Amino acid sequence: MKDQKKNVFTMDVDVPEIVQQKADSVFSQIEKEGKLMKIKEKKSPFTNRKLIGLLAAGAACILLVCAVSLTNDRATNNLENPLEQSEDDPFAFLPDFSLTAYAAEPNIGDLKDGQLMLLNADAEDGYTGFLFRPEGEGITGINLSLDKGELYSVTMEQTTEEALKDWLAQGMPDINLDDDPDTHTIIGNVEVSGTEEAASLQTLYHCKKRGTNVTDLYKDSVYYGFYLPENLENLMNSETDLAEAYQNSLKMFEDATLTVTVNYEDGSTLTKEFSLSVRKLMQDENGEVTQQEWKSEEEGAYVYGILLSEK
Amino acid sequence: MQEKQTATLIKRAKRRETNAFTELMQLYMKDMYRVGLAILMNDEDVADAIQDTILTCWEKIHTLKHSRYFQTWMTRILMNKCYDIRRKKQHFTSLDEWEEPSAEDHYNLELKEALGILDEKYRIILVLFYSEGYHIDEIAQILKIPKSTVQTRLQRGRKKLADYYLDEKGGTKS
Repeated sequence: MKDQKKNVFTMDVDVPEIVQQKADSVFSQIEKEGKLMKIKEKKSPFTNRKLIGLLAAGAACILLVCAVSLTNDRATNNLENPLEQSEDDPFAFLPDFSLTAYAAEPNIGDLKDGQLMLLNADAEDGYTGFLFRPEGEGITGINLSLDKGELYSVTMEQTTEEALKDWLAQGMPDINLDDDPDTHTIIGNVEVSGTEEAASLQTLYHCKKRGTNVTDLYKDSVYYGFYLPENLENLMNSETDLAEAYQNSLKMFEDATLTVTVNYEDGSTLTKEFSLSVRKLMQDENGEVTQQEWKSEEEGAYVYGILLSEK
Repeated sequence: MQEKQTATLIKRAKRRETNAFTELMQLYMKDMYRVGLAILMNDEDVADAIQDTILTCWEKIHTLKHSRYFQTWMTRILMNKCYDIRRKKQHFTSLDEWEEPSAEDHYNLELKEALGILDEKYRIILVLFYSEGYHIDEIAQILKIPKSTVQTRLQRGRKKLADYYLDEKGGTKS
């Protein structure tokens, strides 16, 4: 069996007629160009100028026809420029992108190819804190669409606890709480830094609702997250509590499809689709999140994660 | 000996000797065909990709600094051309625009059958590894993915093929 599949890849192949025909047509064009260049080199530059001019014009026409017929309506790939080799990187750039999570846990466990687990950063109201962004070389713009729930964008600002207290004491200037209902600033949990001053760092998440479809110029400082459009309190009744309401609300994203399209510098685009599923993940006694599915209270604490799987 | 002859051809092609260039590309025609097929899965599109690749290689070969990277360099150009063609085809939204595979597409059926079993991400790795003889770290550099991903996909691709052939023979899966 091993030999059978290996032989399939190493056995000789027949080059199809259509492949050879198209290759031959390019070879003959290149051959003509080569002959014209040789003729040009043999003649003295002080005689037969008219002939050289005609031949050069003829060569230019042939090359133009060749270029038009071969490329047709296919866009020129400017990415071929990086194919110019250097000692450090002999390999050409192949456009691609991946999604990166904002809150990455180091011991999340084995994920399959094309999977990304999002854990939530600081969340508030419908801003779930499950944040991601596309990453790749040469990206100039992005488009995101979600078929269940909504999206929001967020930029982060680092500040200290001290500065934050002053800011709050001044009534949070620069933040117009009433003007734009689609924006919201979340004050993140305090993180203790390792500096000698023992200053605490705080992250401010400046959030903006974006609906189900987002088109932006690419900025590596901007993350995107999943937004719950329905107010949690509306999901509560006498038989549910806030935690249960939150759990029920996250189910909105189950089997959702996130479509991500990136635009590159050369005008080309690449689209990927991701399916979403909501997971309850176990936390061990040290608070480390693992990939294991939380089953019951006997197994300890849990956190929510959203698993993105590339389709 | 063959490596030396290839290196000589590359040097002559860089000096714009058309005969040497044509001979060089003919030498790699089958390799290009396998790689193109792994991505595009039909002969007509592969023919277009190879045609574009030959022209680009002719235009750019004078920029090739190290002859030992020629095959890799050419493979990357070919892969870019293949992805261009595939991206263009993905923009077709109308059923009327969809092109049926050619009725004369009867070359290399066994290879096509094997490739057809696999997802594209496994196909290209198996072809680069088995057909083209690249090492795992070379494949990782070509595809710009981690080595571990290459190894995983190689393993999974092999398993899928193994399971398929077992089913064909009426056996049980391991």
